[in-house]
Amino acid sequence: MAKHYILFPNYSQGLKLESLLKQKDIKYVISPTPRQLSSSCGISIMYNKEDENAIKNIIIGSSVKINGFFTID
Amino acid sequence: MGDYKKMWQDPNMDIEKHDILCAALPEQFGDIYLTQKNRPDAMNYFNYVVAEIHGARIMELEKYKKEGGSVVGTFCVFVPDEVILATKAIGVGLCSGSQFWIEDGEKVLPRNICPLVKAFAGAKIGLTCPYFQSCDMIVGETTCDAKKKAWEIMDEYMPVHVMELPQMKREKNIKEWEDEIKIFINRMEELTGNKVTVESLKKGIDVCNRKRRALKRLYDLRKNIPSPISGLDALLVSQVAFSDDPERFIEKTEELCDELEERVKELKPNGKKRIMVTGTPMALPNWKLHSIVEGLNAEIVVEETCTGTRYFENEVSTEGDTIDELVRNMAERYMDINCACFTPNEGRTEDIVKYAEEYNIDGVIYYNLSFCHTYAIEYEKIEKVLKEKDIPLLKIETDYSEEDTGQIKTRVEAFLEMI
Amino acid sequence: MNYIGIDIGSTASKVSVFKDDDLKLNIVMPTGWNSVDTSNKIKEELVKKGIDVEKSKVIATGYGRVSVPYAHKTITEITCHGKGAYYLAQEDLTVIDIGGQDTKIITVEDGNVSNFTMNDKCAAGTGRFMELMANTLNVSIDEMAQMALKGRNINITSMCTVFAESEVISLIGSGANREDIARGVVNSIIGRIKSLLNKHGVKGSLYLTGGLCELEPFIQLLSEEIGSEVKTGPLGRYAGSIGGALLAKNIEI
Repeated sequence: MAKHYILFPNYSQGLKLESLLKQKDIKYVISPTPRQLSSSCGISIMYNKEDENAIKNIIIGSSVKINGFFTID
Repeated sequence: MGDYKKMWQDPNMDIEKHDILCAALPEQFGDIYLTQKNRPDAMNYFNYVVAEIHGARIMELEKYKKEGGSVVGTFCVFVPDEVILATKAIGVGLCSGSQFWIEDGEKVLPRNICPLVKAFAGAKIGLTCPYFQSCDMIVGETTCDAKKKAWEIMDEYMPVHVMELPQMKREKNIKEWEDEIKIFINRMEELTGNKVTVESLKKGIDVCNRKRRALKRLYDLRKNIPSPISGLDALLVSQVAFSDDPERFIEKTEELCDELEERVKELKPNGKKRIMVTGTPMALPNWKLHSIVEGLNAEIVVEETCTGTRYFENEVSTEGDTIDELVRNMAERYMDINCACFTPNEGRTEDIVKYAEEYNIDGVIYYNLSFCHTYAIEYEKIEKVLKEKDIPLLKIETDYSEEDTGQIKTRVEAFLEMI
Repeated sequence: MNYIGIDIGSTASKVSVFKDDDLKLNIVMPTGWNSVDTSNKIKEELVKKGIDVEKSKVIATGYGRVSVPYAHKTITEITCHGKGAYYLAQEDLTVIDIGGQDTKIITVEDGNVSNFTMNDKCAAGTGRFMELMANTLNVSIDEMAQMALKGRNINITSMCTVFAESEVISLIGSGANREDIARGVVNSIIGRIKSLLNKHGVKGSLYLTGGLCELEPFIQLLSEEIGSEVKTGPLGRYAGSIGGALLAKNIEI
């Protein structure tokens, strides 16, 4: 099953997005960043595909910096 | 995510070797933890701690040190965190739960000692644990022969302060532990340059008590049928308790408990067998037994271990207006921990019997790290009492390697079929 | 209705079929390299004998229990051996199961498993140990047991299978009597079983299951060394699959 991740330049950006997702009641899971996506350690956020657009809108309207949206099959 | 390689250079890490460990964690944690169904949302914080275990937390420690603060590493529930906090130092539980460190540990230690001791030695000498590298000093104790002698070897690599834990519980021994705490206060004052005052010690005691209370609340919630949280998740919370910032940990654990309280209202019995684990500690990232048991039709609802009840049971009284009185209170609380290093240690049997009732236990798994003699020997006593009480018991003796997981699974499965 | 128990052991796979209350059929075959292949072969074999596997209830047990795609449920060999031995002996008992890769002591009370002990991740005291030592002596297991009966014990001091093997080789080299070595090998296994029994405790009569149950001389020596009669029968090898088949009666599909 495909899994979807958002990666961040540092953990504080991840935590920023987390609190926004919490406010908007969007389900997410904080996860260690999979090795296939980056050799850097630390957090990423796993999300449900159907929320992707909503999350993108949240990010656009905020100061959160991300490294991008990624999918692992 | 962040690029921490630069940060790890400062504390003199073997970055290449450490990377092997980092590479394995996302998959291991993902397979064991993130595949669980219907986890509490508040576990996200603890996912964060694991994902950032060698990242954000280390950054906090490094920052604190740059500002002139001290960091000390500990391994055992007997080391009084109250003193560490009273001298404004940060205390962190150190890495010792992975097979990854065994090979390096065996370079300086015999193979036939407990994996926990081999792992922490390996983590230090292999330069693959940023916590060790961040520590100004580590605090050892004399709970077993392997640790006692390993400190001498560790001392060649970094400053070590060893506390001599008495092994009986007579008044004279409690006084001895009082003395040890006082010596530890002096050592911490020297290290940090901060004096312990009645006020700062009371504050330290208060923080530690609130942390104990938060964990106790979590464990009390597990008494529900079914438990609103998996044994794996509860174990993770206990493990994180050792290295996280105490105030933040308390806040996040209370949040988790709030959520669990809501869950309890909606949960219906799931038919899973309720298991107590008793025995030796499970340091991060040792999730071996829990993942085997909870992969079957069972849930672990209490751990009578150092990464369980022994860590949080009983509080330190804040009654008293002198450091002596407070130290006495601390000595009494710590000497009330029922560790197998004591002789006799009847309190532990009583605890197990009491928990079996309180948590509505169907069966007990006695978890014994290989070559941990005190716990291995104490099994006989526990077995006898549990037999009298008709409480089913299974002993699992194992280390951190994966080669016996098939065998252990068969035993646990047969045990579940039997009870 | 047919009830089928399939016991995929590390060395041999056993199958038992009950039609209602009657034990109709037992099959044994080597497990080979691939448990899934073996379980498919078992299915073919059963169909050949006129048993409609699709319309039967199937329980898989043994170390390869997860590799039987058509099983309705898996149950551990410990529970199955307990049930099977109880069926064969018709009384409460302590089961000694000597398997290919592990040895178990199982207490059966009121027909159910009440306690069990397994040897620790090691080949000492298992069927595999017996097989390896027979190979080293260049005889079959049957022959080795026969030889042991005639020999006088030479102590094999190594508990570890690998070291025991080199010990046997050097005994052969030193010209020791082969019957005596065979006796030493058998005694070494029995010693291991005895220590497991001592630790575990014995309730009721002793009953041997597993692949060695038809090895008369071995059972004789085992009884002698333990100091009480060890019962068994030709079906002891199938205790796991019989237990599985009996348990299959209770499952809903």
